[in-house]
Amino acid sequence: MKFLLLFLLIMVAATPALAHRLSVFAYEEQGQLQVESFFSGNRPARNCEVVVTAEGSGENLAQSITDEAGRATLPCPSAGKMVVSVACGEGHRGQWLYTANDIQAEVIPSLDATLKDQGPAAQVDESQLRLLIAQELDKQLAPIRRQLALNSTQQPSLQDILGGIGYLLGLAGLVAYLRTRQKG
Amino acid sequence: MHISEGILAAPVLLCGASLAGVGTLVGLRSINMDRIMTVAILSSAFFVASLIHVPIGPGSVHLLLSGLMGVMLGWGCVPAIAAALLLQAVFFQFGGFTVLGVNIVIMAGPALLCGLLVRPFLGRGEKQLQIAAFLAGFVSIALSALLMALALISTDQQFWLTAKVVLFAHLPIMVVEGLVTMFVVRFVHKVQPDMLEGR
Repeated sequence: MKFLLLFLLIMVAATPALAHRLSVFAYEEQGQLQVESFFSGNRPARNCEVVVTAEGSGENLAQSITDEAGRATLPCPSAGKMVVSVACGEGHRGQWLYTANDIQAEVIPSLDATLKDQGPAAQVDESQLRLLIAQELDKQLAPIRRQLALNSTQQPSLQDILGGIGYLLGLAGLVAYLRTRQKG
Repeated sequence: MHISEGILAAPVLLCGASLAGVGTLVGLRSINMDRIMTVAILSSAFFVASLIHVPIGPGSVHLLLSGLMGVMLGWGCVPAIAAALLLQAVFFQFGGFTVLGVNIVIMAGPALLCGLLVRPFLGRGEKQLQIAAFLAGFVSIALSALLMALALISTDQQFWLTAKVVLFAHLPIMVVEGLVTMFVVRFVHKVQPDMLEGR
């Protein structure tokens, strides 16, 4: 028994990393939907099928395949909630619920063309200036959006691990209690 | 070794859930008072083992310890693995609730089979004990991989192709698992032989 407890302690002490779970997250960058997926230990999920479906109706909105870094870029579908799911075969599948932010995706690409037409001394009115700022902000915010999305993929913490062990020992106590009651 | 949610068809899920339910009940009845703590601790070890990654080759693998549990616990390994898998689904999102039954069958089935097959050899001297324990660890992973491929037939994946991929991917862990099972069983046999007697 002592040996087993020691064994358990050694295992808890080792660095925890995710196993066999496919994590998926998505964020918007310059009007495109960026999808990233990775296995436990941050191994990228390569050549996996990415499918974006509308939440509820299940309508297929876009699909693609992840590259060597486990990333895929899809055209940002229209606004609304959608499910980004990645399937990697051998029973691996992960998904991410994404709510599209419709305004930027629609308007930003048209601005570049307008500015080019007018040459170097372009006159920019207020609405165009707003768009320009929105576009720059979008570029700057992309890494932050990515980090936010990445952070909200759940990673097991030490509390989870210890909690799980506690549950198991508690269950054992429960079984023992029920057994003694049966006998008594 | 965990199959994710939303992959398998309903008949496979139901089949897995009922098999797992029966196995867990039989297992629970077989555990006697003295062994409850051993079951719980091995269950905790199984629960934690999936988190520890050993990078081998292009990918990385983790220990399952299912063979060891089969040898040490006999039928008791089914409820132990079931409880650990349930908590892994809750805390780590490995697998999921609907696929829980299938995942229990995939991991506990071979563990139980190997445990029961190996049991008669445990009392027959050091060498036989070691070989038997190694095989229990090795074969239980291989069988789990095959069972997983079998469960995935219900999707559009071809059985032999999947089986080959899964078996190949788990080859290193089969060896490691065999060795770990061998060392642990040998150690327990020396230090506390009565721990191996449970049914």
